[in-house]
Amino acid sequence: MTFEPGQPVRARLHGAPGHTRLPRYVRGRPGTIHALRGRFRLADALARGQAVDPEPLYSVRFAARELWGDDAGDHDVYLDLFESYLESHVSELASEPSTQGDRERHHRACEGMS
Amino acid sequence: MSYVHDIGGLHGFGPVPGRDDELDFHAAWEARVFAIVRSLLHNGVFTWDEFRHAIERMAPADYFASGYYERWTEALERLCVEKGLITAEQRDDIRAAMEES
Amino acid sequence: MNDHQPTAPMARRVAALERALVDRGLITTEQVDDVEDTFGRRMGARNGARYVARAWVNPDFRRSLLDDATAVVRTHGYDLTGTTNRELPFLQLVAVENTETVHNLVVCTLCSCYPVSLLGPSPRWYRSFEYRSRAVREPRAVLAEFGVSLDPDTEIRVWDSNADCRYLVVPRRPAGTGHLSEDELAALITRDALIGAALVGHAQSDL
Repeated sequence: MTFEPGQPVRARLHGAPGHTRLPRYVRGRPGTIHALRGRFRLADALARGQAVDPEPLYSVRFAARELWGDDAGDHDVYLDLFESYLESHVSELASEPSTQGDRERHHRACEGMS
Repeated sequence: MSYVHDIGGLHGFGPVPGRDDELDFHAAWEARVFAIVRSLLHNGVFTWDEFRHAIERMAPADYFASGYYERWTEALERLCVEKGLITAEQRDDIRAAMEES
Repeated sequence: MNDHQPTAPMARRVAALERALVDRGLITTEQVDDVEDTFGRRMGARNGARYVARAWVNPDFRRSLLDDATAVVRTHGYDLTGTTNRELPFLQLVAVENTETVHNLVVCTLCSCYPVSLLGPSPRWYRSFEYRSRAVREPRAVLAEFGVSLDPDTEIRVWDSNADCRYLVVPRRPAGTGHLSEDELAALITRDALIGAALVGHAQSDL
């Protein structure tokens, strides 16, 4: 699975013991691919002394509100995440909002894009 | 699953200290351990991620109680023992050197 | 946090550790001396400042730096003279530009990743638990604490340098500096401004 700039993604949950460069505060959170940084060796494997091939590393943008809720502020946080840390994610924007709560979230998300 | 170092977004740490502190190092030994670690990395003795992992595995209370380059020293000793570069007895001797006067 | 440990015991500990590693043939004293000298004395924020000053005066250079800072540093060397690019391990660099509407702030929440070869060893505040925990969560509060006052509408981008890339902030050029040379401009640019933790002050204070 490779990702393109603008594509919605979700950071994976992470249960394995050991070193990782996937911080806890983005795990399970939705973000957007900002850019491809290049191909690098997965830090988790390097820490175990494993020889692995390089994989894509992406700059991913997260809205503070997606990380910490509505009182988190209006800033964005960008992280560099290995492809192994990401899964594709269907944004709420992609589907028609159905409930009142969905419509409010949809409205907020659209405002955030302007 | 996280180790103690994964503190992004945590509350309760207070104002950022040392804003007027222009020094790179606060003692000669800090510059020395910085250079030792960089030399070992350059020589391929271990990777940054192995070294970071050694810092992360410190006991949580020790992690927060130690200064930055103390954590480096602690992690370097641990990693060297784990990789068989020094023996546990050598590490004990190294720590005993702290008590000499 | 405690960064004020007694110096002598730690000095003896590090010296004993270095002896053991030298005895084992893993490093030499000369190599460690050389690395200490290179990173501790020759590397410093003046290198990053030179890059920014050139970007301010040379639009093509600015565009190249923002497009692919790694390639630019590879070409020009860490001190912009082209003479030092082979002396140090490879740096993967991203330059992010402050504008009228965007302010960038760099942090490493997991440890202390920092563009050492352009800025020198990281400052104590950057490595602090306080900065690492708060910069991603409440950057406006942290910046206000640092004396950086931004328009409330300014978009804040926080870069957690959590993997292989290091970040250099290209601060805004202060007004009233049109007459300054590249070297004079570089002298205005502080280390903290290159992290996004300060603005670049005016050359002449008319205030």
